[in-house]
Amino acid sequence: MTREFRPATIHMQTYTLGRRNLVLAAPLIGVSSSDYDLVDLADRKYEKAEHSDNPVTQLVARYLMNKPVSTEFADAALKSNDEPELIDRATLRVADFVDRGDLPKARAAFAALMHVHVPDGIATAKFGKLEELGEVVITANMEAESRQVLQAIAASTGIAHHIYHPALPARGRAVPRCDLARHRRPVPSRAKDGRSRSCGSLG
Amino acid sequence: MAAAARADLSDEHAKAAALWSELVRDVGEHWDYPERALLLVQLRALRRTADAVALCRDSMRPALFRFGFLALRHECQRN
Repeated sequence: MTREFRPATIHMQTYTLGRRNLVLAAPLIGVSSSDYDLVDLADRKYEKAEHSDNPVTQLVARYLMNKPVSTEFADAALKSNDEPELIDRATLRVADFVDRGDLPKARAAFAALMHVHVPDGIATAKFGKLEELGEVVITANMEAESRQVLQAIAASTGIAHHIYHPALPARGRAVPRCDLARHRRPVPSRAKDGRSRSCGSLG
Repeated sequence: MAAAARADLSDEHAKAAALWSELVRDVGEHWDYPERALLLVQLRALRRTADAVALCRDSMRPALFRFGFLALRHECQRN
């Protein structure tokens, strides 16, 4: 098996890692990618991971050990990724400001990210990237930003935002309550007037 | 998850905490950082401080790192 097989194994990898079933995770990762460091991270071997050859692993290990991480170090690490994407660095910047308790800067970083990656409400970024951004702003209880991310996902994929994350309605009441009634029926992403369909006045 | 959200919106803290807790125990592929944050809010509303601390202790040594970890760390530091 080669790295090309990774798309077929990625979910098995994350599930087994998430459940710390390392006996199963190790061969899945070993046969499909060079990211074997993920096993060390899941196994809480952070000091070992910090000395990995992989800059992303070093970065993650430093975060997990609550060690200082400069913007330059983080940017360089993410640039070294196999598939470097600007939105990763931008999302990390938002999360980093939240971590430091600087919400105004987190909001500004988010706005800058959306200007670049979600022009005119339509995402140019991959769904998985928006999903990770959404996790950050929902976890941080950034209500307006959470709405914007889910609106972008809905507008860009044609699937209602609550399908992706039903947890959002509860988080800071980020989506109007009427969305709860829609849980079982996806809605088209676009109304006839070209605007994204929404419940009330999202975004 | 929908039931948990409904309980959350209705301020049924005990029910919401139980449902979010069940979801967090059933680990998802991204390690459920938003759900953990929601559970933390409910545990604090119920003044279940020890459970909130335990949740944060577990969350700060995750099996999977996502950028949401940093946002949750900020929430946990308010314990």
